[in-house]
Amino acid sequence: MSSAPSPDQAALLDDFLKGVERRAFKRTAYAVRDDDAALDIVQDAMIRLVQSYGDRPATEWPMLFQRILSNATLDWFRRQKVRNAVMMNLGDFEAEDSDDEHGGFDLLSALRVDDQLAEGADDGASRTQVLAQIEEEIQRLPARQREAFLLRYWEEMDVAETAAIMGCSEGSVKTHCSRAVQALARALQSRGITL
Amino acid sequence: MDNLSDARAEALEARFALRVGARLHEGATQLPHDISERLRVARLQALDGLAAAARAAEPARVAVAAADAVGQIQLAGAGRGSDWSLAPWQAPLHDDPLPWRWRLASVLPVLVLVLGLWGIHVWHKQAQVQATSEVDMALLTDDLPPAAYADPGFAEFLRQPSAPEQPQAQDLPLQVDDLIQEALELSDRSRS
Repeated sequence: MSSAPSPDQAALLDDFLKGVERRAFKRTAYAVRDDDAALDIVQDAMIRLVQSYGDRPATEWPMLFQRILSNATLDWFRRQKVRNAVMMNLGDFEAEDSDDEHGGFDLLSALRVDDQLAEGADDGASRTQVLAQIEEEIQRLPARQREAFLLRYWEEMDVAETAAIMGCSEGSVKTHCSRAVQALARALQSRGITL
Repeated sequence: MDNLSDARAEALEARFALRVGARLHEGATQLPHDISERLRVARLQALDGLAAAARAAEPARVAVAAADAVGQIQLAGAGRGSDWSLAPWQAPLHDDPLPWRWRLASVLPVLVLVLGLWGIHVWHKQAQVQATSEVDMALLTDDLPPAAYADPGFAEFLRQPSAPEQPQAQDLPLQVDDLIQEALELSDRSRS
């Protein structure tokens, strides 16, 4: 059992949680597709972090919290006992992606087009609509790809940290991220969205 | 298809991904008010648990500090106080692993017990061997061959009670008076 952190540590914890709570909520909501459940999971992860690792150095909290959040999300899926409904998601958590589901899509071309059209990208749609569509496509990603993508490019973890949180190799993280980017780029391009 | 290098492709992917991440970040900052509030409450509840744990830990910490101080005072004349010099119930309550000396001390009674049991086993076995060898020696040095003890008839003979010995005639002491009397009777008989 960890010892009780000092008041300074408690203030640091408060700041840390304040900084990550919104992203944690959104990341969880993408996975479970239920805001109430996502809030419960985030709260559970916060409590676990505070109680078990509150006395650890603040530099360790980001990784610990993401790991706890991932585990709490998996626990939620297990508790739901609707394995058939979530089998695809859980299967993605457990297994590697076996094939290239985006074969034939010219990713580099699409990305380069996106890059060229980066300026003034919001001309065609409101930012809110674009954001909603991006979130929809994020939700459609396989769970493993989504987790790797969000940890790597939203939580700004490096490859090694992401691999540690996800419990897989760095090569798997790179593969997941690359496939997530390709899938997102293709989906957004098909919707006429450029970034 | 373009002949972009892998590095450029990766950079392009990362750039795209970071832009998506920036959009998502934008969305996260625009959460509905009720969700923001519930997140705030969740955070405060988690930290309240922390404060409660700290309050609960405070008396224990004070007690440990007092016990530690007592230990230091008791050992003031006996050298520097340490965990080793304190009894286990006086040692500071921390999550660090026990010192190797405490581990050894806790294992020592078990070692002594095992050694004692082993010694008893060896002694018992040796006593058994000695008793068996004595029996064997007695059998081998006896007048009877060992096979006799396996003979049922001999065993039956040993079980029978022995009859009291009758004195033999030749063992009787000669009575002179009886001899004289017998001689006199013979002479009288011949005369008549």
